[in-house]
Amino acid sequence: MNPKLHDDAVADLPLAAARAELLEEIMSTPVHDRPATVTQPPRHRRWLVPLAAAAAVAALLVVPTYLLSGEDDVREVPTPASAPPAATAHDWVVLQAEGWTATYVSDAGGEREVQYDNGDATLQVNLREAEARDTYIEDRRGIDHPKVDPGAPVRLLGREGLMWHYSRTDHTTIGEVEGEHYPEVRGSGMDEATYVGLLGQLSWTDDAAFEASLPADFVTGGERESTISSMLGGVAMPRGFEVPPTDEKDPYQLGAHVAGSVACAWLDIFAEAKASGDEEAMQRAAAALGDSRGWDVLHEMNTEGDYPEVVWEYADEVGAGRVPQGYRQGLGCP
Amino acid sequence: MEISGPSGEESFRRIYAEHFDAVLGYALRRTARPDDAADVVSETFLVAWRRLQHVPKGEACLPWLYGVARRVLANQRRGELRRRRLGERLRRELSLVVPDVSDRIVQDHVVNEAMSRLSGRDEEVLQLHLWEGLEAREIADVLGLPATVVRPRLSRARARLRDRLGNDPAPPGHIPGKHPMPEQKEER
Repeated sequence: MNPKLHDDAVADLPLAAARAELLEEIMSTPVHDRPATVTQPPRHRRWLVPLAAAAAVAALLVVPTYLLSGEDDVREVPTPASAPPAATAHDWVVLQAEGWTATYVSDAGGEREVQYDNGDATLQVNLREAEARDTYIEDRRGIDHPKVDPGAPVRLLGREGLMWHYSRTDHTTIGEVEGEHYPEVRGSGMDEATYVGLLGQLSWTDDAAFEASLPADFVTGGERESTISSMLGGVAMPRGFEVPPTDEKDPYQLGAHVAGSVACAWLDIFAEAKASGDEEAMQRAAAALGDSRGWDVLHEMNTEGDYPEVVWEYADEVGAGRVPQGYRQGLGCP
Repeated sequence: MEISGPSGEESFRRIYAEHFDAVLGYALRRTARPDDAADVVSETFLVAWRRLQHVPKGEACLPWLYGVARRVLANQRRGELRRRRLGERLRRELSLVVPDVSDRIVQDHVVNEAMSRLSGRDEEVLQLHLWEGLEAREIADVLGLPATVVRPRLSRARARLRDRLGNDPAPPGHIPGKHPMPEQKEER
């Protein structure tokens, strides 16, 4: 195994000649550069895959093809974010057990995650894309490295799963693929018998039933519109602005979606106005962003995370007449 | 950015000069053999050369390169990375010079052992934080996820690692000052 060297140790490796030779080799390869095709994520996705990342994916899958074959044809590459939603009834996994509550829900980057807590222990359910399953199983087999543990058979969601132990009170189980995803369920802070008992109280469900199972502070489909309206109370919006559609359930993440899309719209206006020298539009955008310190939605989020800080940091930059570097990615602009 | 012509070449030379060590370090810390690390470095910079117009300028450049290296590495692990004739000398020399030293490693084995017991995703986020010294926003760039998704993930992963170690791990392995240590504020 390579030693995990510090960067300064890496910099001290005597590789000057090899490094220079590789540079020349790379720069002498022919370039058939053209804009990479980026697939559009479906509407249910909150965030666009950052262009650079999508381009890198496309580049990687494409470069070997045309380097070796001489073709310079760029295929359209589906990214994880552009996978269609899972079939109904296999959208989410829900835990129905006395004393356990969902505390965190995330649906991003092709992966879904729900965390359940009972005050002493946590059960984390991850739904990952089917193609990743083999690599995760291989990884879990090496939990007790150098010993290889094939995993103990255990029932999960009506099928055969494989269970491993991180410790006496920390267990994980990988289940079979259903539709586009496979489940991994990790229980921390409980013994094996309790954990296996909880596995038996998990079931697949569709989006509507999953929403209905969430605590009151989560936002269901029926509540989303009115919640978004109240979040926009006291928020100045650009003319014609509409909040992009979202399936966000977690109140913090929904707040980030709403406040972020407004902030992004004003930042875009400011950046364009600055580029074209439109002083009036610059001032309007700067004033609206300056007001963000008074947005209730951000104050409510501020106890839980740092998204509001980022919005305010950008508002300060704009107030000083600067376009914040990388703001679209920083806020995850739609 | 025009890739052809002196300005494109110049900017690629600058990117290569500034970030070669960081990309090599990233690759060495994640591969079993020096020649695998050499392949990851060669392929990553080849992609940067071919996609020069997509390489962001300034501070966003290195996270972009890490993002490419990460995908190259994934292809390599799946056996999909063809070994090219490119970087032959780097492969050879790297195999000779990677020293088996213990005083210049990025984290002690206790931390690495504890990290490896976290879920694969938590481990990757923590490696980018502790080995590459990246902050949540930069990690988000590498993973192609919004920072609002990465922040709570990093925060929870740090908390889990702390639980296992009984304290915070030592500072990251980057050259001190090159990447400031993110503040230890618990975020959601």
